Amino acid sequence: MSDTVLNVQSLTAGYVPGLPILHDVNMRLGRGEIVAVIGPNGAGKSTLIKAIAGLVLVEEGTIMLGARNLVGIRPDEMAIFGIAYVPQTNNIFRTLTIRQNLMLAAKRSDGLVDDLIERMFTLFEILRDKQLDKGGKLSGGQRQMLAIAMALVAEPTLILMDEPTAGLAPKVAEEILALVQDIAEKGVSIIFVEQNVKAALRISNRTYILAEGRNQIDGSTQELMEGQVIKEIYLGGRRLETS
Amino acid sequence: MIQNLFDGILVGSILSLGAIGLTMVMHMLRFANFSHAELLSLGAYVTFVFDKLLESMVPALSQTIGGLSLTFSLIFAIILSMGVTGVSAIIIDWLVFRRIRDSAGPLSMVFASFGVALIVRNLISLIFGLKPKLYSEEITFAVRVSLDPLILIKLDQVFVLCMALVIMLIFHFVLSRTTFGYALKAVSENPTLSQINGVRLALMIRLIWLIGGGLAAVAGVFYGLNNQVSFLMGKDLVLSLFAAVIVGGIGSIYGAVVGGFLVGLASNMALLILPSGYKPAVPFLIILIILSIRPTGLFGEKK
Amino acid sequence: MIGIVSYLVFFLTMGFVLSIAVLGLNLQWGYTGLFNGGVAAFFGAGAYGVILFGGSNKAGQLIGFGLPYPFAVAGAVLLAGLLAWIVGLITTHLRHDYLAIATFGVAIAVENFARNAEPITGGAKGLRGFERPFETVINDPFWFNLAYLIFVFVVLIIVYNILENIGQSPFGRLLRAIREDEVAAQSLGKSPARVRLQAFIFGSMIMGLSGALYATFYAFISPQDIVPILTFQIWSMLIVGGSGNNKGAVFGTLIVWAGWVGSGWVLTQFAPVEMQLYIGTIQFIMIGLIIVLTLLIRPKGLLPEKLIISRSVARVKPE
Ligand SMILES: Nc1ncnc2c1ncn2[C@@H]1O[C@H](COP(=O)(O)OP(=O)(O)OP(=O)(O)O)[C@@H](O)[C@H]1O
Ligand SMILES: [Mg+2]
Repeated sequence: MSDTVLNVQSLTAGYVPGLPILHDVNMRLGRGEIVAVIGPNGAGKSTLIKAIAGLVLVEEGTIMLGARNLVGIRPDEMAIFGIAYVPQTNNIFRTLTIRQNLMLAAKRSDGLVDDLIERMFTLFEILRDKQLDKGGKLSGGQRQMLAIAMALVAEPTLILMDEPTAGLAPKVAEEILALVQDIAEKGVSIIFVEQNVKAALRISNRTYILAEGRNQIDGSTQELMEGQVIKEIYLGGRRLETS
Repeated sequence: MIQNLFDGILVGSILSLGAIGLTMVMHMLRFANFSHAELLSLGAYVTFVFDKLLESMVPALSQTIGGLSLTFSLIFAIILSMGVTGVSAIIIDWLVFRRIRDSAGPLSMVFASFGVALIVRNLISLIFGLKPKLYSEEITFAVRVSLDPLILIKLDQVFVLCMALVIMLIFHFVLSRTTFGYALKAVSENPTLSQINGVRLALMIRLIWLIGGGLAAVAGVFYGLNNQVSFLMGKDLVLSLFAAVIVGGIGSIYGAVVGGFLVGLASNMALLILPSGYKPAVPFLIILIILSIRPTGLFGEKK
Repeated sequence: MIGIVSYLVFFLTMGFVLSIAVLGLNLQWGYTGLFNGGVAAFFGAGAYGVILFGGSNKAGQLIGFGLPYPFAVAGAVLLAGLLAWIVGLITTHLRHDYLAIATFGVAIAVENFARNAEPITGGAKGLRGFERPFETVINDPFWFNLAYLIFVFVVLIIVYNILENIGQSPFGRLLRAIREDEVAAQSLGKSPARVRLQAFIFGSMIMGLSGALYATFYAFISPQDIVPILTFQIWSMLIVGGSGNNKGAVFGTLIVWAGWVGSGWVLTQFAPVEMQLYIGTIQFIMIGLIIVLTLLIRPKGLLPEKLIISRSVARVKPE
């Protein structure tokens, strides 16, 4: 098994002190691994991602990045630790141009910025054509691409993605998922939340199921696919709607 | 008529400078800051002090520029005062607003800002006296641009107007060309997302106070040049500044600039139909009209 | 001796008159979370209203209806309510600090109107000469003032009880629910904007009543009596006492009013001559400090609100 990059241990976290949303959640992520988080609406998937990104109040537990505990690190410092986060909604700046979005996300002003942005444009040709347009003008798929590009341009080692394919046409969603796999192949570790259980199982190395803010069952995707419980829980549609 | 137009534009440019800081604070910190106008009088008095200091230290600086009543020392004093006023705004935030922001809602900050305004305004009058001051005792004569209709314009006023426009232009370039400008826009659109993208919110808030305070200081000096330096300046201007922000739409910097000019013009044009005693009530009417027909202002985003 | 007693009568009369205004503010801010930055406007509407409606028509004076006193007071209260209705209608459904700005503006406009609309308001000289009820019957200033103190006290008790009842009623709970969480209150099927408007108007009418009693006491009103500092004095009284709590409101009023009167007396007695001009300035700083320091150190005031609502409405905000 690959070496552990991120280790979340007995995490209890939420938005209001004393009213945690997540209870005693555990999660592990290896280098270059893709880990999917699935679960019903309101399960706390976004909250878990936000907790890692430093955006919610952690009451108990640790989030170890290597030997370093991330609890208490401000969200604007996460980039220093090589962590990038693509939120579920409102993940680009509508009032800035595509290029300005990327410049801001690159978090540097040296000569390398242009190179990095250029690399993003080779990855997403469509963004190059629109680089002077305001972010608000992009379509859903393009917006998602820009959001991912904004994460990549900071050259992270760990990317957190919250439902990167939500609301996209199936074909575009496929493209995004293929991209996620490409990114991971270059050694970047990825945690992503996915509504589409089949897609999640297909591209991830391991999958965590969250319900009511707690781990339900986890293991390698292979094991999950074969396990009886998992089929009952969601392929059978008891808890989740599979789309 | 044309005289009112010119006076309106002149006052408008001053209001614009003052309203830029106010709109940024109202948008980012989400509270109507009733003490913002006191930064104008603070800036005006600090400039007054620096001006007198510089004049006594370097007499050569007390020479006037061209046909203006302005001296070189006043120009340097303004620059120093911009810094001092901006830093004072940061200190006030640190002493009062930040603490309340952490523990209570935005309306408590509105409330506190009334208290801060009272304290700042009356401390100024306690230190500098109730009598208004002038930057220059020299009487400058207005140039008669035309006799019929009678239009009187002072060179100082032309200078003030030009400087106000230049400062706004510089600010425009900072906003549209620098990473700081993008960051500012980003923060006002989506604070959380900008944090994720490495923008330090606490630092941005400090910068906003610094810029808002600095621009307020210039506005205060210009107002003082045009009228006189009085501790009542803030009290007289606060409603006009809010009117400018609301006309432009809260959070819109360009809106604040346009709003400032519109309010300045409207207040002066209103004198054509209203007795001059009613002038202080004009901004209130503007606010009521805008709030009832277009609460988001000219450039504000819809909720 | 009689001097001290008659001063005490004056002190308490004003204290109770101001208490009524503070209670009105408590309904708006304490119960409902509405920021009224122009208390002086509604107080002023009541004060001018009672003299305009109750006073007789003098030379050069446009209005003066000479109505019997109860009708004059009712008219004054309605005038304050009308003003609140206009401002509230436009602002109570908007971003919350718009109400603060608009009310602050209305206070400036009302003062401005009082100063300039000479045929109606008497301009800067104000309105003088108003025959107070029973003045001719009692015919002795001391006893009249004592009787007036009792009258004001009774009115205060009535207003206090009405507000206490509102506080306990379903309407009062609704107000607090709106203050705590507008979205949750909305989901109960109530229109928060409407309820906020009602509370705003009613609170302003109480301020108008206070203004009417004030003007009755002096049989005189001028723009000087409705300057913005009045708003801040009343605010400081509420927050010192404890917003949300009617007992606290009255208690805070008497404390701050004593502090105001007391500091004025001490300063006139002991401050050096060159400082005499700045007594007002120092007192204004004092009011500012009271507001800021209370907010920082003891935001719930001396007598904090006793929360009666259950915290069942979880504060859940959508993403
Ligand atoms: N900003 C917030 N403040 C308070 N509670 C919140 C906030 N955001 C979410 N919650 C609550 O936290 C719980 C978990 O929400 P979360 O967004 O993590 O769910 P999710 O699993 O991502 O759901 P979805 O599939 O809808 O995205 C929900 O009950 C939600 O109401
Ligand atoms: Mg989610």
